[in-house]
Amino acid sequence: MAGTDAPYSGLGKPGFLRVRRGGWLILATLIAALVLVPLLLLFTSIAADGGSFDQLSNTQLPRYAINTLTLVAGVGLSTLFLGTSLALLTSLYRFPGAKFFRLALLLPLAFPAYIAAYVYAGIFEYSGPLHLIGRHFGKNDLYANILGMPGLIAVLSLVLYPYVFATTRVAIESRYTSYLESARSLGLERNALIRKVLLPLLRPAIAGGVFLVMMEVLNDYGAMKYFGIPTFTTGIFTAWFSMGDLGSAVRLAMYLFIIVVMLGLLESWYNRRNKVSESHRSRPLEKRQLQGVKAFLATSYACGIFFIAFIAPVAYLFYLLSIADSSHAIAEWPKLAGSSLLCALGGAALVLLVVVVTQFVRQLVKSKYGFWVGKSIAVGYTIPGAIIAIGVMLFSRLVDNTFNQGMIVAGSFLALLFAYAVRFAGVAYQPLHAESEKQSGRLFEAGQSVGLSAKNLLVKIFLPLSRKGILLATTLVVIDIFKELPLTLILRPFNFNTLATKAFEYADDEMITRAALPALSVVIVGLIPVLLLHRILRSR
Amino acid sequence: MNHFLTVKGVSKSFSNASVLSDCSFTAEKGELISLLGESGSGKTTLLRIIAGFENPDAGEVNMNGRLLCNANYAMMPEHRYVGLVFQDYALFPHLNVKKNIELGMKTNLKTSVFLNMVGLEGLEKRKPHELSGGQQQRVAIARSLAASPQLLLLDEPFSNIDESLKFNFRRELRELLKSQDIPSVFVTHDTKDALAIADKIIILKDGEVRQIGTPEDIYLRPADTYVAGLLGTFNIVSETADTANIIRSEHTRITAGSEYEVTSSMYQGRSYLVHLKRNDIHFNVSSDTPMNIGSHVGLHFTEDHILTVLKR
Repeated sequence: MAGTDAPYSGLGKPGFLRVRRGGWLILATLIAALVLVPLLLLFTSIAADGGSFDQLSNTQLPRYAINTLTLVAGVGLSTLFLGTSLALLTSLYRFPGAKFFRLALLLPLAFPAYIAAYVYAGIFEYSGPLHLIGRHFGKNDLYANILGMPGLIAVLSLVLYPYVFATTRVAIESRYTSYLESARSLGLERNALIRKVLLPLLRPAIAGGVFLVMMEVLNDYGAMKYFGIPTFTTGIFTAWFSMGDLGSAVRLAMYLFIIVVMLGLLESWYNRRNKVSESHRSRPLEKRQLQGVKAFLATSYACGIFFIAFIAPVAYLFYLLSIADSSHAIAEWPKLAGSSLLCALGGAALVLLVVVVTQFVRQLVKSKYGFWVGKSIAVGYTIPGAIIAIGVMLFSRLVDNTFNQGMIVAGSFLALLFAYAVRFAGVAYQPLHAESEKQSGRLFEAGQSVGLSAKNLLVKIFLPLSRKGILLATTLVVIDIFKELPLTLILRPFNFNTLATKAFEYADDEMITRAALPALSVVIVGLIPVLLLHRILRSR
Repeated sequence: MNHFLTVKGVSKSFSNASVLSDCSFTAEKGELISLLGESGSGKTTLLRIIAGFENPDAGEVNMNGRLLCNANYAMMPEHRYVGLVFQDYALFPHLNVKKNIELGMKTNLKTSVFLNMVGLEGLEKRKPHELSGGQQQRVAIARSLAASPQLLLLDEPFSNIDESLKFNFRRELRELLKSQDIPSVFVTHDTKDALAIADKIIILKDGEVRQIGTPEDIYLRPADTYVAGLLGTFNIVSETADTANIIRSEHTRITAGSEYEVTSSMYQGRSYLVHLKRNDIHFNVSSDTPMNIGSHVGLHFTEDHILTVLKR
């Protein structure tokens, strides 16, 4: 029999439809390449001029490495504890306020780390609100300098634990029913069930949440800077802004990149080892009512975290706002908000272009190649903004050097939008991918069998059916760009400010009352995706 | 002679596992053909090759004088004028019935013509999820017909239809398909569906065509023991290395006697299937009445009902 030893999948055999859909595939490939090039350039330019890197490596590198790893490990561990304990508490037990806390404990996610950093430092500082309240009651020593490593770990943990909280909750509430039922039929009591069956089953979900937290830690710049902890990320900024030393920035970005890759490998290794298949039926474990002291302790714990991580910082921001020079703040707000919106909408439009085309082609072509092209555009989201910024910088210089011998792309608004697309395509990938999986290739085949061309498949089937996914993706990307700091700081055109950069700059310059309005604006916008997340979690 | 549809020597494998080998058959206008086989026999793959969603490793498919595909060429599915009705119907969930039908429409006929054809007048505005399974299937068929196909393929058209509704549904589907001036090919794993409505049955087993013939051919002159077994129980009367002489259970009769011992008696609805044993000889026999296990009976059949088939 002919052709038995020609392994290929789907339609991707030479001479077949792969070539017939060539135009679409080339378009998707080009788009994916454009998204990936800034990252690849980092690798190629490592061999080039290292700037003053040798000097840097002797003096600063060990410190950067130790601080970065300490932060990642510290925040990882404390969010592991906070997130898991709160998820178990609210998903397995009933106690006063339990239902409210399921939403409330997600809210701290709305705080970007760079805003939380200056808010907490302000709360605790001499003549800060804590100190003033304490003095009112005759206690004079209620202030502390929390700047430093332990303080930074605490602050980052308070805004990042919701990642672990959310992933763990989803796992507890919507999977593994059949395992739990069979364990029960074997006679396991509830506590033994939780300890011996449920917790081991949750491990991959918890690890996934902690991984997200660690990625966010590595993406942070503002909080590290404010707390004075030198890391690879702050090193990149110092090299670039203080010394104009792109070579050193590239090398530091590479170190950061290696940490990201190692964490990613660790996570996927851990989850492969602890892989559990979900059961199809989903009925969560029944909740148990807590009584008396136990109920009181549960409510106090959840309430305490909610107060510290959300109520206190929001109240402090409003307090700052009330004592701020409001006329100045209000005067500059429209321009800042307009810039933010411009970035967000422009970036979102580019992201959608990238994601829609690649995901459409992935379904259209249905080959391994198309699959990888469709997937590759999502990598940017696991890569810290500072790395992407340096990559885009290299890329735009390359373009400038090749085509116009000047600085047209580098430092332009276009380069900034492009960097947003690289970083946030992964955010839009998830909802769009999920939607188009639901359509399964069947509908495309049905369309083709009644004679629809590829263009018509896109316009008449793919786009209308992906409407919800596109809407959700746009919302998420717009808000992520609103909150984004490191990438915008590095790539923004001269004298261009957004709400996020201004909030950070004011805070960094110790003008914390001025920072209040832009910071509060970012937090309020940031609440939208948290509410969306809550709805999604509830509907599962 | 030129056939309307010619499938010639089609072979296909997925990552080294052969799914189809050297499959050939033909179809004429107005003919209703059944691809009959168990799951894994390759029948759906063959259908998808004709529709253009898979490509053969060898062989070719021609229709109405046009090459649809061979090992080096594949016409795009949307250019083939081959309609495919999916097992799960694959109606576009965002479009109502009318728009689903109009999406690929290539005639000047009104949508209502197609709705009348499948008996769904008045449901134009419904969305797919507001229709029953049977109604969805009719929309899927109407949608395919509206695209003016030269060939209609149906993947397991009976699989989602209740057993109690099947009888009428088979008749209606046959009338509808026969009224079109095109060949229709439907895939099924259910022998009863194939016997009831097909003009011609193609039996696939492990990717090979075992027999092609009218329902009567298949039943009365099965090519081999596999085909004979698809259409009911049978007994081997005698055999050689390659062939067997078989008799169908329904062509045997229990008589008064004592050579055979009854070892089981199973109710089949219309009759009983009784298992008889004499030393090492076993027989499955149809009986109108139940038999007592352990009792002794005789067995009768006539030579004219004995069929000689290949053993495979």
